[in-house]
Amino acid sequence: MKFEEAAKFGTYISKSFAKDVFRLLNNYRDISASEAASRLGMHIQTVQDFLEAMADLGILDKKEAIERKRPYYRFTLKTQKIVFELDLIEELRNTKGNSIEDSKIREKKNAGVRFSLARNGQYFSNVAIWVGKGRARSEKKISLTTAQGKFLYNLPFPDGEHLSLEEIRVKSGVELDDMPEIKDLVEELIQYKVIEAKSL
Amino acid sequence: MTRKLKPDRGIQGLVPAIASLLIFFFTAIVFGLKISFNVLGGIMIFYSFIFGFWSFIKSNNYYFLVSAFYLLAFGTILILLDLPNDFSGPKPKFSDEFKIGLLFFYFFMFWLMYIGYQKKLKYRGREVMELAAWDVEEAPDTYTERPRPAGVVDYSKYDIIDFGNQLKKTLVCMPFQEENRLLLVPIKMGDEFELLYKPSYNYLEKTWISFDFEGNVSVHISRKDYLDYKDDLSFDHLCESLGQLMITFADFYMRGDKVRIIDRLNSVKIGLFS
Repeated sequence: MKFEEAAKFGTYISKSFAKDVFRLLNNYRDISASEAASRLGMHIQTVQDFLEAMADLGILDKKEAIERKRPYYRFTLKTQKIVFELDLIEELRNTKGNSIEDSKIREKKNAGVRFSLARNGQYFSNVAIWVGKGRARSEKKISLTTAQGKFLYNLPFPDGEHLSLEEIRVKSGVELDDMPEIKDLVEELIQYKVIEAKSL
Repeated sequence: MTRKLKPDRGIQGLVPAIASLLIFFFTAIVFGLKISFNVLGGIMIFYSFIFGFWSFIKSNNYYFLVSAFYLLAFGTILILLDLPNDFSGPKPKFSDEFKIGLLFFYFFMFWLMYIGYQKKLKYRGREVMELAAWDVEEAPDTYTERPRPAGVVDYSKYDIIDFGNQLKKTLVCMPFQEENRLLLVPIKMGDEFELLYKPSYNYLEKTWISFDFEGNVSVHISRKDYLDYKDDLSFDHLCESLGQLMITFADFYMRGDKVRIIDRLNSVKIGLFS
């Protein structure tokens, strides 16, 4: 299940009436929103939304029916078992595709960012970025893990040669296991225009 | 070699001399010439302690003692100077103490002129920054506040500390030791007053080259020093160049060729007072 689908499913399944609606669907061969609403004593729109959402998720079958020339939908339970499975590694993979991994990066010119050194002076402990404009401008401080701090310490300067994440990782002595958190930070800093990326 | 730094027009070094002259003329007008010479002598002795002995304590550069004793001798003879009230009268006789003081004064004065000519009392930050920028090209909008890794050396902690002490003695850089690294801060002439007399001297805001005790070398160039260059130089290249310069100096020192450090700095040919 995709993350967005799971979120939608979670929202509806947590409704207090969800079990009652499913009980009806299980008992009836097919049922309309108005029938279910009258049976449960609920507003038709509420039940309609629930059934539509379940149909979108592929849990119900939705068929158009016509009564006195007015079309409406009848819903049938397609499955008696719902498997709720999320592959987090796949779902939470950084950015759209692997664009960061396929890019070379360096600090952006005039990034207006402040790096604070850690106690030992060999990596950064946090980054302060100015976000917003005018009076709404505020300082956003990102605390860094040791791996992130080491990585940023070795980030090429604004006029330095662009380097790939892997090249910077090797240079800064960061473990391969720490790369997901590095990518997360790099994406964040690209958004805040602290880092610029160039496709390989 | 084309100069990359702006000309030094600072007058910080002249402030003590100007202040002492102003006090001298003021006391001469108010209290007379004899007292004004005595006051000037007192100022010279005061200067000998704050500019001579204190600089020696902070830098371990023995040549500051020559400057301190010169000022001390100068102050002493000014105090011992017994000026006649009437200059048209007979030639005044000087005491033996005055003559001995005068002897010391000339001795230390000529010695001071000699070591001054040899730039033994010159803070070399300007030369360091000129050398670092030697072959660095222009590249606008490239400054960033963060330090840059500049290389790795294979020296022990105590080698690095010794190297820092040597640079301190020759006034090339001031070392600041932290828990696991040594920071070398190049001091330009005129900037030494802040270093010597400001109680909360924040060296981390300055330009520094750090040698950590695992051998990693990093460079930070302050905005003030970067803007001291005539052009916007390529910052990445400049930092790398400064780091490499210090690594070269460290190599010279470890090989026992510490005189090469001074030779390299002297090759820039910057005036005595800038």
